[in-house]
Amino acid sequence: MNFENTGISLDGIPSAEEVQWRPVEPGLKKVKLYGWAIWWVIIFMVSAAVMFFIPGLMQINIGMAVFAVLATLCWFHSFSIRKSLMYKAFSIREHDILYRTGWIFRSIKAIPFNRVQHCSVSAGVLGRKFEVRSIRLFTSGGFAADVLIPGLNPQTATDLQEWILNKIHQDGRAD
Amino acid sequence: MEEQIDFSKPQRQPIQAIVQALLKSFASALKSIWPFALAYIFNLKSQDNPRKNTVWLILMLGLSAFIVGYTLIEFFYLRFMIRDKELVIKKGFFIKRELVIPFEKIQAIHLDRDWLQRLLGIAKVSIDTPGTTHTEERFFLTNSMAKALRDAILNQPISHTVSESAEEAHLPVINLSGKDLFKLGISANFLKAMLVLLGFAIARADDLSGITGKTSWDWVEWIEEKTAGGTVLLIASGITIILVVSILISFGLVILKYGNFSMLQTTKGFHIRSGLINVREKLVPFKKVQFISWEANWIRRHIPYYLFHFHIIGDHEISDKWRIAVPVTRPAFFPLLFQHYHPELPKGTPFLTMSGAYVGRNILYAAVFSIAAILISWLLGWEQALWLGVIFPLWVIRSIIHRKNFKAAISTEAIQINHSIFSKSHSLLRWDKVVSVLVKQNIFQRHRRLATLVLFTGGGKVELPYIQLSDANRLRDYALYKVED
Repeated sequence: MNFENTGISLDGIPSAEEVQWRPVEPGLKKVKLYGWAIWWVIIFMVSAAVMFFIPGLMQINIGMAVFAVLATLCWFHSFSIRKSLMYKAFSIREHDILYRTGWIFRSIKAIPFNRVQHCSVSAGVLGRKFEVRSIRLFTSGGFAADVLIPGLNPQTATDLQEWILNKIHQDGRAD
Repeated sequence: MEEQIDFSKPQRQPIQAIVQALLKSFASALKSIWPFALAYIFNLKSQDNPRKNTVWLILMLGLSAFIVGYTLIEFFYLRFMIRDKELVIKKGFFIKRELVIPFEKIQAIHLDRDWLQRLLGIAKVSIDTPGTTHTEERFFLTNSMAKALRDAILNQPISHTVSESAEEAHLPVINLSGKDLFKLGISANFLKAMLVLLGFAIARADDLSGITGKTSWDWVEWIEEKTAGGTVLLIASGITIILVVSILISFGLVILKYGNFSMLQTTKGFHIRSGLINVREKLVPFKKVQFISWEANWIRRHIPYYLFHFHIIGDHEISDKWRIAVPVTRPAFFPLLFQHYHPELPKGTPFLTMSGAYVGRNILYAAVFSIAAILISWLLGWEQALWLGVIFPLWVIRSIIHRKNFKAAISTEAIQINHSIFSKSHSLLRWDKVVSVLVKQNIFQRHRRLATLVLFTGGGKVELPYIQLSDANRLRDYALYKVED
């Protein structure tokens, strides 16, 4: 068996650090903050209901402690949403797509287009109102290997989906 | 005469399938409301707070109505069509989703009919794509419509899984002799069996506490009392008995798993068969192998015997119970297993190692965890909580060994990782099998310009933790280049 182990020069290989990052649409911030508000209204209401109906919990000191904890978590959640949106961005290159996310735990995920099995574009109620879409690229690696890019302009999402599908048809490859 | 269906126009699920959808939603509603139902029934019996009854009833009815309503809405808002050799599925009312699956990515279309579906004249259509064991999409159609859709898609070229013809020669590759099986059994990880045995004993002791009057904690104190007054011989005998039972159990489990093991080779893949009573068979097509790994536990590494794994597409979704490993009881087996994937990288291959900061981080985590465990146990009344401090040195020693052993050898075609700790463990991945790449950093890593590189494949992932950020980025770029090459 012949086995070679030649050295490789990385000089000619494009670096993912030199890409132009495109931030997500501003509408995503509104979607996230509206969603945040709805969830926390529900959480506060459920907490109040639980304290009201369970005997022994309806006391000033317990109520204030619960309120303080929830208010802190609520504020931190809002702060976290705003911070994380600053880092969310994506970049489309000729052969792959990159997605950057995370505030405390940062990550950059890259998926080559010839590894994409199929894709879907979705929008929730708030997403449709504020004109943002999410695109999910599916690979054979399962959920952890897939990428979900939120905060795309509707036209961008549709164009990207079509472009990826054209690439799939051209490549015609299966894993 | 068969109806001609124009799949280029959006189609809906037939109205009779609504019965199926309703039944499914009732089942989901029952799963969700059973705690409320129990609370309602108990409260009815006690009758101490009639207002509570009303609340539970409202919650039950509200939740059920929501689930049933949501299911019905999702049912009516599902449409599908065929467009330019793609299956397009649009679904959802609150969250609208458009899923597009090119025909060449559809691996299989299943049509299933249980008794209810046969009664209703409908079939469940399940669409599979490579890489996941669960179906990508599922909906219900009339029998004729389901067949017409399947024919419309399958008339196009589709990727197929390997099928073996009866004429293909099956060459034996590996067979286990009685001696091999015995050594494999005796070198099994009996510590794991011992822990499982202890866990089982504790659970049963608690179950029988109603009869015996003693919980598992009471039994531990009883044993402490008996051994405190006992001799060294008594204590040693007790420990020996537990060890012997654990070894026998792990030995028996290995025999059951690897008895009658055989591995045959065809032109397209390996055929592996294993199991003394429950026989499992696995076809490993060469082209579907994503990466390979081999490991030897802390006993077997001294023999050495290894367990070799082929990670094929969809493997990451199978539980360990259903995975079949190949016992490598002779070094001569390795080339046979490597030959259709990639040879093992030679010793002189350039390699990366883990940063020393990995140990520093683990010292911090171990200290915090140990102090928290001691404090919580002490607050809960355990006087000897300080014993939990042993977690700290064990954790740190483990991380030191992990860092010392970790090596990622890199060649133009593949990467081989040694991630041994107390056992020996290696993985070998070809660059062209990568499907996506992730470079991630926590706060600690960012501060020190380090990162964790994760290479995803169709059969699982391979990680390189705590390497230099520059190296992680370069490897990512190289992987993307090789995938395209």
